[in-house]
Amino acid sequence: MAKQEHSPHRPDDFEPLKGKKRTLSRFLANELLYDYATDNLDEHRRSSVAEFLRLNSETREELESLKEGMAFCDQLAETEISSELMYKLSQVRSWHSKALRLVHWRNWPEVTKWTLEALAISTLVAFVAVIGWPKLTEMLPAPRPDMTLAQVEKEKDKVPLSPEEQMSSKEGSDSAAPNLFAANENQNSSTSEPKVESKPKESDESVKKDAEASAQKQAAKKAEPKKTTAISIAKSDKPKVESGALAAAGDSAIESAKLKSMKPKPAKPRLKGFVYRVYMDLGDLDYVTEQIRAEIQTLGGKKAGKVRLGWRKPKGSYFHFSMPEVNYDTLVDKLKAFGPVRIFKDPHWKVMPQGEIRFILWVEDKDLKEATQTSGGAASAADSRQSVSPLSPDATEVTGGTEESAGDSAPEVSEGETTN
Amino acid sequence: MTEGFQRHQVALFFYFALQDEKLATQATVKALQKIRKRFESAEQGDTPKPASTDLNQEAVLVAVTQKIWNNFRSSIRSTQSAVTIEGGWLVPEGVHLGPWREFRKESAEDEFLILLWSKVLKFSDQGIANGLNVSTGTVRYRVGSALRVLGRMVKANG
Repeated sequence: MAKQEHSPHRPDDFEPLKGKKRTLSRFLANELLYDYATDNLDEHRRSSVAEFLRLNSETREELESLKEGMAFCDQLAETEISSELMYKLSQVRSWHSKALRLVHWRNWPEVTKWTLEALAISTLVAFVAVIGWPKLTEMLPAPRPDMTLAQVEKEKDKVPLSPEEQMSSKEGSDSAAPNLFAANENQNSSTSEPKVESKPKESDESVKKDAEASAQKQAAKKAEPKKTTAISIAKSDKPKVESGALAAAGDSAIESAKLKSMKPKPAKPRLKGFVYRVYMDLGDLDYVTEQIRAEIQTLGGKKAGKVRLGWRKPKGSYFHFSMPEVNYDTLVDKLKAFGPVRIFKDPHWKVMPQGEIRFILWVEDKDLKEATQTSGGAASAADSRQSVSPLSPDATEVTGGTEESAGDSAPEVSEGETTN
Repeated sequence: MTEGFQRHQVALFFYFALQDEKLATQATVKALQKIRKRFESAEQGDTPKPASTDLNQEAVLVAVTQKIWNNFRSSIRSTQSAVTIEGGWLVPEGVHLGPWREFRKESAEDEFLILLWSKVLKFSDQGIANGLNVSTGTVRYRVGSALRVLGRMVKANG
């Protein structure tokens, strides 16, 4: 049997019927209707289907429906699309594609790109400066606060020294005071604390006695510079002190000075003691000196220092003595017999025993004084220092034959000086 | 198969498949993008089959349109079509789409689509079979069955 040519729509695996014609079932006939309508059946199957259709009307209706459907689809296939729609379809992009196109900033205009880049940079800088930087600094560790190595507070409120401290400070100053006092006896000073710059020379016993006596005294109003002078002198005397007692006195003075410098300086206690300073200008000094000495001794007077009564000096005679207080008036009367008397009562740290008073009498040579005045003022500088010196604030003039200036004062005699 | 022809075919498919101009437009755009990508990848050698033959192009269109249809079929708002005369799809005069809408509602989905590809878009059975990864006998069987149903609808509507 020659091989039939396959129609273009018939698959290659479609085998033609062999042998006698078979009678198709309705189901199979319906299944072959589409191939029959599209002429995709072989001759045998096509004749079998045609035979079935001739005998079966329902199958013929099915075939008609199928052909109607094919015709309808052919009409639908003729649907055309307008050019506008075609253009629109070619231009239409989904939102996704639109977003992607926007994201592809390379397609943007150059001006837009540069503007957006500048805007982005400026926004970033502003954000960092305003918000980011403060937060960043907060996160950073805080700088170490200034370390306080030392703190010195100035004490505004001066704490007064305790009595012990006052006593110790007083001992220190008093221990040096006798030295100073002894050194300044030759100078005219009405103050109780003499100004001394020379080296003190005393025995240990006198220093101790004075220290004990000073413990019971209180300082009066003294000038600060005098006090500091004493203190500074006490400080400067430290390296010069040789004896143990003096060294101790000096150390105590230094300690007291340190205390005073560190602590507020309390008010100096008033001097409890006093001394009578008597001044007289008399001629014929040698004779008068002997007379006065005899009178003093008659009234029970005794020398209070080392020098003897009536220590004869070039310009006058010096008397440093103590006597019973009851004979005060008698002494004054007897001194008045020699000439004008000027008496000043100065506060002093040294306190005399009960019933005794202390005198420092300076009798200046009147003849020598007149002689120097007539010759010129050459010696006035030296003399004025002896004859005129300001009184201490606390000194009071007790008596006087004539009204003298308050500046006159007897020179202080150093206890260390020896008399002839 | 030119790009314009492809655009035309895809638009027809979605127009008759979705019966909604807005959805059809969106689906057509998406399908065309996908088809473009597939052809580009095929030309670059990513796929074994060349994209130059019509058979392969039909297969790509079938596959892509089926995929897009699956994404859009749930968006169909109602069984009634949303097409207008001004929509851009120019149906021949005298052709009533009523039977077609009835057919879309009554028929099976696979038969409906295969009929659309085969008898409306005039794709070959082999191309459809390649696109759907089925045999041509299956394609013909489904087409015959769909035609019988459509025919009955057409006869019923006169």
